[in-house]
Amino acid sequence: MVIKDYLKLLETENDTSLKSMMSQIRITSDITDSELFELSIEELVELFNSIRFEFDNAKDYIEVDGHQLNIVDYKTISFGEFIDLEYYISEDWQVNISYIVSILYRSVEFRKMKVDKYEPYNEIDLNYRSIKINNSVNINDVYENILDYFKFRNSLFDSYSFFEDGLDDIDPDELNDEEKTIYDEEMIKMDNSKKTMWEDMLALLSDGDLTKYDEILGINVFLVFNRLSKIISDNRNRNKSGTKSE
Amino acid sequence: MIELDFKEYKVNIKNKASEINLDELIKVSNVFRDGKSNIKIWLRILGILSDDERYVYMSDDMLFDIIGKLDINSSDYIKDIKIGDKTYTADFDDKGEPKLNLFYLSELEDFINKNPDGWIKDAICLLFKIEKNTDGINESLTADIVIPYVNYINNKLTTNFEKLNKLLTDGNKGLS
Repeated sequence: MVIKDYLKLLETENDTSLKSMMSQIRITSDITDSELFELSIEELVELFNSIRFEFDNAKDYIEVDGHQLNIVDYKTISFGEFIDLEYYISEDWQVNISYIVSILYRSVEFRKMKVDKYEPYNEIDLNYRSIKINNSVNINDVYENILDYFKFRNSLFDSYSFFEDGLDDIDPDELNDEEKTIYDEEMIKMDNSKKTMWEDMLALLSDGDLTKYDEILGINVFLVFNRLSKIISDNRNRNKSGTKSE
Repeated sequence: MIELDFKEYKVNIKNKASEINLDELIKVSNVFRDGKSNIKIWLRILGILSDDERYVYMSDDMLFDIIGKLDINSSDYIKDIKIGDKTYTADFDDKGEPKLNLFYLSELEDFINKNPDGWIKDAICLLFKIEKNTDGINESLTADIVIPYVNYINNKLTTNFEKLNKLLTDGNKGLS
């Protein structure tokens, strides 16, 4: 089943009206309408219940428009790619699967005795490629790799303390009124800072120099986060010592 | 038609299925659907079937007499319906019953869910492939034509949906 059809299926998944069940069966099987209309209720339900997905066969490469695209090594992802992936993941990732696949699967040049050379990310037309992927790539070929990327992403978030908000361990139901007010204010501040998080990181790393943005976005995400971590740690230390000297 | 004689005026009440047009049948069936069988409900029904609102001045004896004379039922399928100079025909299965395959059932389910007050017209138009805005449709589709189909649809849908819910609940997907 191609991604486009999988998305259609998601829209109707929890609806068990006859029409919805029939459209789910249409998407997932080769049955013709005339065959479908003549099914008994029992046969319809049997077919409906047989629709199941076991995403266990993801491929390392896919074919799109005559081109072979290979799954990237997540460790080589740049800061810019990571930010774009975060955008598509946070905005209903299932709907954006084809965009996520456009970033994670790329043309690669396999070179003897050298590291694999992926096509430059900034040359990819994400919109065009995602349409092609949406219409032609089998969901089963990519799904598990996307979940793998999520694991990678989560481990990255867990590895850097600047992603921690410090409020995770607090149960708002256990707070008194005054504490709850402070908690709510902090949550609002945090939500606002999340909206500009990537922009703030870029500003911090570039010292506010816009001309450096492109260069930073192309740097490996680990290097960027390591550097960021160092800057934040240095700043904290400086602030602490400044407070002491006052 | 039953004539109620109030001396100063007369009220006519339709009591035969063939006298009741589609709009009236839909109104009557909606009253039955919404309420229990009590005097108020019967008065509302007679309000739909009478030609003068002064029917309300009838005595309780008269009311029960009329209710007893109401014969709004029909069981014979009329397969060809003439509206104006056109004839419309419904499909029947091998058992001589209206054809209600999954296509029809799914459409009918949709009609009932989306238009519970007017689905009867939608259903008959679907079965006979009639445009809903056809001139003369309301007068031509009298209750004696429509009722057998409505009864059959109701019976079929109830049976099938009970079965469907059971199968889905027992099955691995369920309704949850």
